[in-house]
Amino acid sequence: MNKGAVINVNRDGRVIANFVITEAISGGGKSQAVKARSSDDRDVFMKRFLSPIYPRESTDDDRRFAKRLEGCLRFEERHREIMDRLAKPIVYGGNLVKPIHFFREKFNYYKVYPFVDSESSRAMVGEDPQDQELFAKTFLASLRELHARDIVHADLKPDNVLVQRRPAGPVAKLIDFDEAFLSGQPPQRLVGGDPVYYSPEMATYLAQYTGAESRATSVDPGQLTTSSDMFAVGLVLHEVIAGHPAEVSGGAGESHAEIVAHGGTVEMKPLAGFPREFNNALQQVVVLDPADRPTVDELLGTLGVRAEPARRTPTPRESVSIIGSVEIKSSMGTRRNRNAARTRTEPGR
Amino acid sequence: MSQQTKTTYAVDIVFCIDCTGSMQPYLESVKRSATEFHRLLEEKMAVKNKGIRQLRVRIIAFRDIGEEGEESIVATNFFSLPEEGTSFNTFVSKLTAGGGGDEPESALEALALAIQSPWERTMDKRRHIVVVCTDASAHPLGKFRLPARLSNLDLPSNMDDLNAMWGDEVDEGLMEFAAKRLLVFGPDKYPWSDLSELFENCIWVKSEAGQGMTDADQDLVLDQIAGSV
Repeated sequence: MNKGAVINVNRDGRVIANFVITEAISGGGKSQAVKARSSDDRDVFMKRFLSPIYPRESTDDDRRFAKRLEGCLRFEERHREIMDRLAKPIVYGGNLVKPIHFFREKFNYYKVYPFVDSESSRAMVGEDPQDQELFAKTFLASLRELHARDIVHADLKPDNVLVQRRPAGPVAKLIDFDEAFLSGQPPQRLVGGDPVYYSPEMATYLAQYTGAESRATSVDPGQLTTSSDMFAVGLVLHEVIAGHPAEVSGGAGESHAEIVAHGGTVEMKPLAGFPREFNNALQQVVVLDPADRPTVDELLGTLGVRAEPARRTPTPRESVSIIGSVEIKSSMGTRRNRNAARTRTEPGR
Repeated sequence: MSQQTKTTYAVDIVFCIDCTGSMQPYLESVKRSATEFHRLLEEKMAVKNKGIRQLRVRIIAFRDIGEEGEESIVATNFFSLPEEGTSFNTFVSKLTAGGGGDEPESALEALALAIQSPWERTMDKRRHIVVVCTDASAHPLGKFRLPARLSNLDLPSNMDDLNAMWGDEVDEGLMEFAAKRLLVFGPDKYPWSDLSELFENCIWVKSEAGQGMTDADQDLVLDQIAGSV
């Protein structure tokens, strides 16, 4: 095995559904990623989710099978709902790298994204302020597309905001909606995202699953809204434009979220060349109370981008395109029963 | 007074290392990097503004129970690094590659022992990582008993029982769902491809059967560990 060898994600290591794996990208976190080529000869970015694993009838008793199946169906439902909403036509204009396929192959779930030729948003450090502002506007415009659909990205971090160089300047591309959920409806046992960029309410909500027992507290899931993303927006923009994470003062804890939750503050350094109103608003997105944070529309407004009311567009009934293996698409009122699900799980396909 | 933040983790890592003959190059690489392990991991995590609050490392060296019997599996306690670095280095320096006979080896028994490790369960933001490094297939469970000095530990009789021990979102088994990661560096032979499909939070990186592992692989192992925290 050599460094850079293909990271295999299935038995033969070469083909999943209609995709031929061409290159390892990364491992770790909650998924394993590869670059692959589709049957129509396009490069794609494919992720295998490390959890959940679809249950096997042969090894689980009825209770265990039913509980695991229920968890998988909830997982499918969340991803289907997000993909349905993302499939709606663009409302404002933005640069979302939307997932194009979501499917299950035997026991594992996969999601496929277009492959984007781009660079890290950390490359924005030291750029011309006008270019930095264009990057910030396109990042926020992309996020507005999500929030207009009531979608919380839930994993905003520099690695998930790419930069594409265009004649007009550097444009942000927002990627990775694997942790996304509907505003106020986080999944049970959500353990994704990056703690470095959590909002205080997200950190507290997740402490019950990832923290020490003494810190396990309960948070009303309804508090995890699009405002949670705004906290991360402040941290991300500061880091990729100022070149270092925002500093903190007071409070207790390690992350920005913990410190703010314990009475401290995030000290946002004004970003050079940006309007004062924008810098004031950026300071305000990193406060404790989600209700006190500016919305993405308000933040864009400080950059001179007019906030338009969302234009509602019809929801496609079954907009998720699925290939190969087990289709995961809109059920629209029909709950799959256990037998139906088992029929779809033919091992050894 | 303002200051920088750093999110730190309590990281437990159990290395299940195949110590049969063909793994000699990898073992030498492990020995060379043992003294630097804490620093190397911290450097990789620092790139993402993360740090290590506590690092404990345990080694389970395995060969083939069918060939080496009592000496086929050697397990250490957790070493706290860097505090117990000297003891850790001393143990690692004594690892030698040899034996094992023909494939398969006793990697699944080693994995079962790893799962039963005394994991840190009180500190905030903890990660429990099992790393299996081998270039061989594994004996199916149920074929051999554990060496007598390890017989106080449970040995599952098949892969399903091992999977239940590893646990999932519904039944945690012996591992904590949010904390656990399983990184397998193994060839495309039984059971590694199956295991990566059926065990939650498992990443399989393919190694070449019978070709050992190298310095570059050791760096890849570190990358994968850092990515899993």
